[in-house]
Amino acid sequence: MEKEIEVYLAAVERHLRALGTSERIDIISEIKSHIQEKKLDQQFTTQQILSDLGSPRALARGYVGETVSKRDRTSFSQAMRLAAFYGVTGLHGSFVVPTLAITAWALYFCTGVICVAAVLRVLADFLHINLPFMLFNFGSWSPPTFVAVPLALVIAWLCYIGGRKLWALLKRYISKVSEQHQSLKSDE
Amino acid sequence: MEFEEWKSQLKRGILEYCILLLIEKKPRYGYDLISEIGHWSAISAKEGTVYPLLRRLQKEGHLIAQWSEAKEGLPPRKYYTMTQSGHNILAHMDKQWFSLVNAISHLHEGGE
Repeated sequence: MEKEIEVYLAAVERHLRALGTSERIDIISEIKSHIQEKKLDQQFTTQQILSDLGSPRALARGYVGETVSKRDRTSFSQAMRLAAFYGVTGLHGSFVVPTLAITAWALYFCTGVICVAAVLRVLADFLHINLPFMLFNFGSWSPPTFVAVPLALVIAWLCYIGGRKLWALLKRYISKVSEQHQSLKSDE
Repeated sequence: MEFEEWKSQLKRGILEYCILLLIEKKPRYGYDLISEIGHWSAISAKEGTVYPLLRRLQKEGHLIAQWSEAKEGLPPRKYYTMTQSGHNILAHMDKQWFSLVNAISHLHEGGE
């Protein structure tokens, strides 16, 4: 076989590497048979035959990209929409999600600390232990324990409610974003 | 060149139909098919279009292919034969084609 044809077929095969071996061999055999057949006609030069086949790359793309290239345009616009989605969501998400999460957990933490402090304070008073660092100060007002403990519990309750509300808000935000994400994905 | 674009789309849509029509009559190999449709410029197509198309039709089960051995100085040939599914789809294409031609000729006469 002529050198030119061999070089051409080798180039086509290289561009077909995305396909399985047996399929590649079958394709190359068919193209080779085509070239030999056309040469028998004797009206065509090798150059003409090869140029009719197109560049090795283009010919291979016909096989590899039969369906892929048809999807290319839609998947490109799909990719752009996903990029826009992640861009916007990523931008406010990177602020909203951590702020809500951290605040909610900070409030839960406060609830716990206040409750523990109140219990310790009551115990300390009961056992007549002096705990100077465990005080209820509202500005300069420092109420006695029997007022301070219920007040502290009310504040703890408010912290707990606040934490829950923020947590719920975070969950709503996430489910909303994932809904949008799902609807984007289902368009693919 | 809008007309050229339209023409190539039309050709692309019809090529499958032409190939199936030819293979329905008798088993054919690639070069044979390309030369046959090459007689008419309206349906002629390049190797780079026809061969991948044949492979797809084969993958979709409309055609089966069989290699014949090389003999009397002829290279081995890959012959395509039509399957039942090929006959079915060709029947649908025929129906679609004639209703298309019918519709266009009605439009030529001014509609209705």
